[in-house]
Amino acid sequence: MTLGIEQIVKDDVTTLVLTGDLNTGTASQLEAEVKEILGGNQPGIVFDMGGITYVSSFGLRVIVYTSKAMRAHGDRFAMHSVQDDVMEILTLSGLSRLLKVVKDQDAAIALLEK
Amino acid sequence: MADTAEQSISNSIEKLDVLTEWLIAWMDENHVTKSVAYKLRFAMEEIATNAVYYGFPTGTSGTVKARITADTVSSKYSLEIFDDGEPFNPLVESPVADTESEIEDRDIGGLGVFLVKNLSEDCHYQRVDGWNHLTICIVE
Repeated sequence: MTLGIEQIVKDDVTTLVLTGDLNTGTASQLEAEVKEILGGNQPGIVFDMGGITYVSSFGLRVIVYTSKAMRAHGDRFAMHSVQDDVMEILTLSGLSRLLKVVKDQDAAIALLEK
Repeated sequence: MADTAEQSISNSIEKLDVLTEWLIAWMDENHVTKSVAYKLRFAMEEIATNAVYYGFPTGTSGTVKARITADTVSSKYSLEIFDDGEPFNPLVESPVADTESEIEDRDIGGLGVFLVKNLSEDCHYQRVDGWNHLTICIVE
């Protein structure tokens, strides 16, 4: 079970292009990456979820952690390209209404520029 | 006709991937649809992870076992998780999941079990001969 994280920095937004599984074994890798970005004071974070096929409750925990942490940094955190099965988990958890989940990268960037 | 398979691991965090890999291989062989495969994997990982993390007194060794059975006629899947840890019924003893609060107050404790209940058709728990035995039924 692996998680791929590719970091793309453009202007003041860091996009993490994620692939694979966000579960018990891999969620801590994403959390470490987010902590590093927060330490560097990048004011915007985008998760590109297009390649994520599986999110467990540990994965949800990191998403919630990121959202909470970003509230203290101007609340510029968005996710996009979430697959249907993952979206069902976010919706059942009551998280989809609290997170900025949009269609694609352009929509995420537009949202963070507001 | 019913196809069944099972896999056990020791109660160690490093072994959880063994269960996941076993289930994914079985689901591939049996052409389980993407949506059902997600639910089965989610249910197994949440319950097995909880058992390994919280089910055994510190320093004790034990076993976590998963069994999958497919009723190929009705596309109904029965996933059973067994562990010989402390008696614990996750369906009633897990923390109550919070799906209402704003993000600042969110604690995701109990969310895994809440989601398993919601994604499945039926779940039930028994304690048998020193084993916790949870059966989760998932339908196409």
